Amino acid sequence: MREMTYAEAIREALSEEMRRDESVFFIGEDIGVYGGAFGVSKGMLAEFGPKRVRDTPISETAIVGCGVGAAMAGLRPVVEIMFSDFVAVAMDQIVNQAAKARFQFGGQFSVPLVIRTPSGSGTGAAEQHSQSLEAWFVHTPGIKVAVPSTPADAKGLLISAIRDPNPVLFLEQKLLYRTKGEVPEGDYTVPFGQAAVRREGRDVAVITYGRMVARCLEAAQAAAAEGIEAEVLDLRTLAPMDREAIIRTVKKCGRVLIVHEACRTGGVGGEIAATIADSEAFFWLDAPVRRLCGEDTPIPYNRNLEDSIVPRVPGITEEILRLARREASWPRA
Amino acid sequence: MAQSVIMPKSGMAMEEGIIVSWLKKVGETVSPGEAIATIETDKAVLDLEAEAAGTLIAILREAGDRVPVTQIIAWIGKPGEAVPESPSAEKSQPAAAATAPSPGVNAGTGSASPGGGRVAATPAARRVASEAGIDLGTVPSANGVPVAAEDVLRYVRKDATPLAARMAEAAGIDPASLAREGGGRIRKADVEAAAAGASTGERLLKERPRSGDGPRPDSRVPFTSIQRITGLRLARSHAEIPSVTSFAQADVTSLLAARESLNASGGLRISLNDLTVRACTKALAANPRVNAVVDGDGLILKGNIDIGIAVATETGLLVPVLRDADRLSLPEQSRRSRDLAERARTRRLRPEEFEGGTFTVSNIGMYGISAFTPIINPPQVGILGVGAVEERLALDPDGRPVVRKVLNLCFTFDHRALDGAESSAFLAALRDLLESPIHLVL
Amino acid sequence: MGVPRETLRELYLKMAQTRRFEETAARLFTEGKVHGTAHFCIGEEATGVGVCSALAPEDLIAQTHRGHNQAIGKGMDIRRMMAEFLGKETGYCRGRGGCMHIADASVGSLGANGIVGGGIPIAVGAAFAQNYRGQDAITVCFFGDGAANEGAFHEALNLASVWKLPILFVCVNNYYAMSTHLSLHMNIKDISVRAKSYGIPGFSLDGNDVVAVYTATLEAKKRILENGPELMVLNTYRIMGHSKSDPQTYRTRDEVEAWKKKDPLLLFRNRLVEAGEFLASDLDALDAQAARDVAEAVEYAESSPEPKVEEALQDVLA
Repeated sequence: MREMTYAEAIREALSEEMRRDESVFFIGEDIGVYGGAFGVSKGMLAEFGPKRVRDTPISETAIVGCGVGAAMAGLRPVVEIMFSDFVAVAMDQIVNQAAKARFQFGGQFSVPLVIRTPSGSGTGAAEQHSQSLEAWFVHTPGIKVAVPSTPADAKGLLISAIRDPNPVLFLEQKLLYRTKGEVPEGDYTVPFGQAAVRREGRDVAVITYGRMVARCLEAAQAAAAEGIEAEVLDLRTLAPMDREAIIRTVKKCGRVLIVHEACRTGGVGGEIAATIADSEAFFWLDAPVRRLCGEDTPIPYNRNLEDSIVPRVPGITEEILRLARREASWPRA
Repeated sequence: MAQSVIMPKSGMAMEEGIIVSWLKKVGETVSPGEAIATIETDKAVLDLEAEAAGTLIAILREAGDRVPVTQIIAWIGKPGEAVPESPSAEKSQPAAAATAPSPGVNAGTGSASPGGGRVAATPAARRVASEAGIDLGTVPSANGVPVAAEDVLRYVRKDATPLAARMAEAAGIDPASLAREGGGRIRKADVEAAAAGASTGERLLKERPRSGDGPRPDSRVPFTSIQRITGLRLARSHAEIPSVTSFAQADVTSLLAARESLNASGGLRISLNDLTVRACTKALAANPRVNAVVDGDGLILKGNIDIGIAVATETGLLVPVLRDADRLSLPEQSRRSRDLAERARTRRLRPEEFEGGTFTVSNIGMYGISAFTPIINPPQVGILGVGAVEERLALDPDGRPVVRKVLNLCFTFDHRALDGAESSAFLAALRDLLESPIHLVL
Repeated sequence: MGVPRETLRELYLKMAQTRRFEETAARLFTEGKVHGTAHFCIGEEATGVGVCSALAPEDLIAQTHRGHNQAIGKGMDIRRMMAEFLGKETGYCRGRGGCMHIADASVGSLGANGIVGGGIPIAVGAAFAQNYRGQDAITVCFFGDGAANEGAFHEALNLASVWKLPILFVCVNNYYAMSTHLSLHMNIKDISVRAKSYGIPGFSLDGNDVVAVYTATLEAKKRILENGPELMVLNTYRIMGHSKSDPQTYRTRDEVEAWKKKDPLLLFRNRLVEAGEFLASDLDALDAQAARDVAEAVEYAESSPEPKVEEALQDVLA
């Protein structure tokens, strides 16, 4: 199969949908001539023209609000927020408007809006350009959240997102933009709420998503060299979350390591852990649930500091091995 | 009209039972006498049989639940029949029982089990233990970490042959630590090799943690349910009964020789304990006040001679009863004793097999113990403790020194029931029987 | 008056219905029949009714939380409005939104908004959609003087201007952002001057003159379809408190009384009679009709079923 980068896969998904459906349009800051801050939309203005690929003022509230209104009026907007940190500027439009419109108006409106935005640390962009904010939105009923981990998923999930009648926050992993992977040609979708087992194992279930999937796979490989087989589950979408897949992998492995880049406290990992504790999976737990997450700190600028506060392969490997060998330590009262 | 299925009271002392597993599902048909569930009492795991024919229309208590006796746990009726309401008192009571902490022992969990005897174990370990009908407290765990599923599985699977497991247990060796010759299960030879490789003292030294100067944690080891119940009875017996223990030595040199030639004749595996029990039956027959139970302010002299034989098991002391022991041939007596002991260890005894002994024999001679003072198993009036066979120098009729094998007999009796003369008569009779094998075998 | 007699009749009836609707709603509230709150536009009827009556069915509106006049103006069903006010299944939002979130997709209402200024960017998006499809329609975006200080207002006006979207921004200036007088929350007297900084036309007029409002809207729509957005400021007054729980300690009785003399319904009535368009008895008949309509709406709402609790989770997602 042909290979392409994560960024190219996103562009292909968006372009294919715009060719297929006249009601799809794309707006955002510097997405036109400039091609997007990360080059995702390079060449799209030339193909679709300024009616459908439109640069906006630096006005995140107006960008998202315009998407909400256009969606309520029957179009299928895709809006880009240049860095996911900037969703904070547009929070009212996402949380109070997009996520509520259908419910509060008694089901009269759909809001088929996609908010694409690059997320995550690792670029030296520091505190206000590096966050992983998915938990805010997982906590907001009425909006879906996707975090693709591969180019193939990026395409398939984005097509699903555009065709979804609900608002979708599409959290692209900025460190994955240049990574390559096999991507099927043409029209296909990756359904929401369906996690993928990226690696089969039996000793430790590693539950993760987004950029951490690759790190967990690498760690699982290293653990395998020590005779420990970790299963790696990629959630792919966090809202809806594939709770059955979580329960399945826990029942299979008994020991669980949750890995995400976002900071630990109040993070999605807590929801995953609660899903386990609050389900049949509990009775299969053979060790306390372990979380490896970003530290509870803003993302610093310095490379070494920045690296040190998100889970890395050696740390993930070590945690897998400790869990498997019953050497892990937990907080005690 | 639907028939209730209750938690049976399968023994006098039984107050509650645990549902180990349901063998029938709701909607399945059952017939009288058919096993519908496995339940665990303080002393045994047994099948619960249906008393009515019909369809199992409701299961009120799940596997793993601890249920007071006589409480309704299921209903048998016609398909589609409404499930009758259970009285509310019956509903609320078991809930409390179900949440009561499960008693148990957990070697080395230390601070992990802080309050009141709950075993630190993973949910998976609890599930596996419950499914296997195992008391989690009896499952050893390595390194002081909470019991995990694999610990229970290892325990359940018992990677050792029954003989090897018993030998290892007696020698204080963790079966999991044993090397296996040629792979496969742990066998007798593996245990012997391990025992030969290190004296007990060496092994104890080796087991002490080597590294670290810090304080070594204490650990709390809760009683198993059997230990708890047994303990209560022993404490009551010890406190209430004015007991006396008298000792005698029996020269068993010729008895052992006779046993050897019996066993050498092929087919038989008569143990010294079998012979001791046999001697008891005859001595009891001759001393009816010893084969008796206390009943208020009198004694009931029992017609049958039913000997309780104390058996040490992983979860505690069990005393299955050898019925009509005096009417059995020696080979039959031996076979039945072995069967009872084996089923006690695997907890497959039926409740009635614990009840109604008229006398008890407790033998700890295999541990090399000379003598001890056993505690009476009430309402019986006597218990015989049997120590080790020891070699003594003695003089033969010609005044020359010879080596004789002697057995220590320790007879504890209820002084209210027996006076010194009566008890001595019994013990002397017993000794005489053991010293003249020909009377014993006849 | 330059307006057809039938239109004048419609304007009067809608204003009378709005007035009666709110008076009745206030009474129901006092009687303890309402769980929640409502924001009344008594004194402001001419704004929403005047603007919306000038619109075509395909024109869209984004409403405010104080928008019963806008809703009735755009042709919403009073019965379903009242049912929503009482939280009934037959209400516009099936009892999920209440008056603060009332919407009717069928008449082109994108809904009222509980967030001050929250609907302004949404209206821009709706106008974008009309423009994108090449429709001959506009979106009207209502908001108050308080909302004109929200960032959303500025971002939205700017974006609409840059993209020349067919949108009429209607600022209903009732001089109070909840309790804070205009003079305390902005340093200009005429809000319409803000249009200038976004390069769009802005103008103010008497929001209590329903004919002026109606006429201005008709004219603005024509210009907007040609040239892009405009800002229309309608100066008016909120006779009642901010909401049912407002003690109104921030303004004087004299001030309220003075504005009561400029009651838009009263002014319009006098003018219609003076101009000889209608007899007082004609208008009495319209008042009576409004009273009947609202009474019927109350009956409808009160006899409507409550939403089913088992359906509480419906419509979180499509």
